[in-house]
Amino acid sequence: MCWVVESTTSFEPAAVDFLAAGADHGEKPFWLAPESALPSLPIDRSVTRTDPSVSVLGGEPLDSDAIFAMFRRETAVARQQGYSGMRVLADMDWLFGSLAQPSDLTRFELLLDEVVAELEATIVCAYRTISFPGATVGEMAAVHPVTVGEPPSEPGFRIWSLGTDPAAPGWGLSGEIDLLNAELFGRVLTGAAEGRPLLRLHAGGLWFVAVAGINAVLRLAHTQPQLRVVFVDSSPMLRRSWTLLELHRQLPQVEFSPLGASDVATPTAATAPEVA
Amino acid sequence: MKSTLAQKGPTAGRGFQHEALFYAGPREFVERTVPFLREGLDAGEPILVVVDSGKITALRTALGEQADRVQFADMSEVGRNPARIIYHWQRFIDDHLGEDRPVRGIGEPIWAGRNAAELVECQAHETLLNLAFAGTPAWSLMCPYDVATLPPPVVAEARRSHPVLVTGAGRGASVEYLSSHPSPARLDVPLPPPPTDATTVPFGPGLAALRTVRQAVLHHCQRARLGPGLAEDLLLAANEIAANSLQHGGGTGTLRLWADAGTVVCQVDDPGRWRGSPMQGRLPASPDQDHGRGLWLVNQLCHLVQIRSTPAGTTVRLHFSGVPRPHSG
Repeated sequence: MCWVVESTTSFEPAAVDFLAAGADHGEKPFWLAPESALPSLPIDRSVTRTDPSVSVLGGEPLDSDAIFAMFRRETAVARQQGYSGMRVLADMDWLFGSLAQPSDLTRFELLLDEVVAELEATIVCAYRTISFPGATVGEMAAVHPVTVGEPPSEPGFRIWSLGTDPAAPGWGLSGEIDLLNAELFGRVLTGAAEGRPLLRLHAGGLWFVAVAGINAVLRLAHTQPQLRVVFVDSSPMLRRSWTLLELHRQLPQVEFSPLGASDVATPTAATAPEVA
Repeated sequence: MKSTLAQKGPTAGRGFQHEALFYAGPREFVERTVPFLREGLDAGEPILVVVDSGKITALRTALGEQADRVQFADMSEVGRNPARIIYHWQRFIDDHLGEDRPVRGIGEPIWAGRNAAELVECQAHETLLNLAFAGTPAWSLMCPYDVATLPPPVVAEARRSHPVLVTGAGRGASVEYLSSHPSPARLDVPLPPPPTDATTVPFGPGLAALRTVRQAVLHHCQRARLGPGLAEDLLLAANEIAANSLQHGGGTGTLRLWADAGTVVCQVDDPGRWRGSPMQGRLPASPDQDHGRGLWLVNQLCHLVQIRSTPAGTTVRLHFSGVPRPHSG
């Protein structure tokens, strides 16, 4: 979940409540924050506090694999301790210590979503509007299935990992794509497809895709000609546009398939962990 | 005074031969088109005939077994929007045309049942055929005009847009043909104004206005109780034209929606000047093109698209037939 934080005053009490709620689920609480903020966090020793840019990266640039390895280790330790998994409140200001560029964040968050699904963790990424540009916060909202708070710029769509299980792999999509957000959509797809032969997109929630969005898919197909893209359960409108544009002839590596056995519901705020 | 071309037939010369056939009534149609078809069949040429279903039946009967060697398509479907016709021919010649094997076709986009707006766009299409297929290897397209039912100005326009005429007197060059003829659908000829009670929604500046446009279209569709198929088409097309206004048309625009005798009409006005080529939207973009798909898609979704542009601004008017399209889902 992406938490758009506009008020520092209300942030910490809500964060504490969020972590406390993990006890009902048997989750081990973690609070990630910049090193300078760790000593003053309003939490006791039951909550593990750390700045990954220091404890994992040692001041080096963002290394997603290293961060995710830390999550996997901590999950294993938590389960050995009798917990069901991790509940993480991530004050994403810690990223400034990793020298991460905005372009790195989208890819990081996409991969994090896969790790969260893999580990069955509960992770809230809190982006402060006073720390990050509005456009960046909007992008981060796009790559989380659920957003709490109002992003300064609404990205118009959401993408989230459905896990890497071959039986139900790929990404869920919802929202609308037009000229305003097609460039972001293209970057997100590129990040999701990076290094993979297949990009499976469950697009049942993507209710509108303008030609600009279709052009974004085309650019991806051109830059990664070996990539196979499968739209699962796409809207009739998208499939019709694709056919009318003759793209079914021109780009056979982009396919449309009906929904299979894995029926995945579109996440809503009602199904997300509560953040007060 | 007509000059007479060689009597060997339309493909004797090289290149695209675009001819208008003037006939009066169904019997003359068959009498004058069948020899053209038999000539092609005898030469082993691939042939495509795009006319109404009644004429297709008549030609099949007249040709007998030979009809199996002719491709037929219903112009009321292929050319419902005249802007779609050129691509239909392009695909045919791409599939069949060779240096040593000409092709021929018959296409009747204009009939008495076309309304005034459709007629103008059909006439523009006829002019654009000369542009679209200039420089292609030998292929011959015969465009029948029923002089018994069409108004004289329509027939006169056919003389200007077709370099070759076929009448009862034979085949000859049209001395009235204007190779640089401006399209009858001249960009600077204004359209009739929208009704005063049209739903009117100003939009822009800023691309976020596209959501405003889509919400307005959806709201209109709900109020007008339009079916889901028509609503989808209207939504897609209106979005593309509005996006063009925001991006290229001065950054703002006005959306209008109304009904006209069973047709849903959507109009987008903006302060910009239309700078597209005459062929824009009539052929699909190639896969490596990063642009040029919007107007093509609009032409596939609408049964008529009218574009007018002056220094004062641009108007794009989209017509959607009220005949329900099955929801594509």
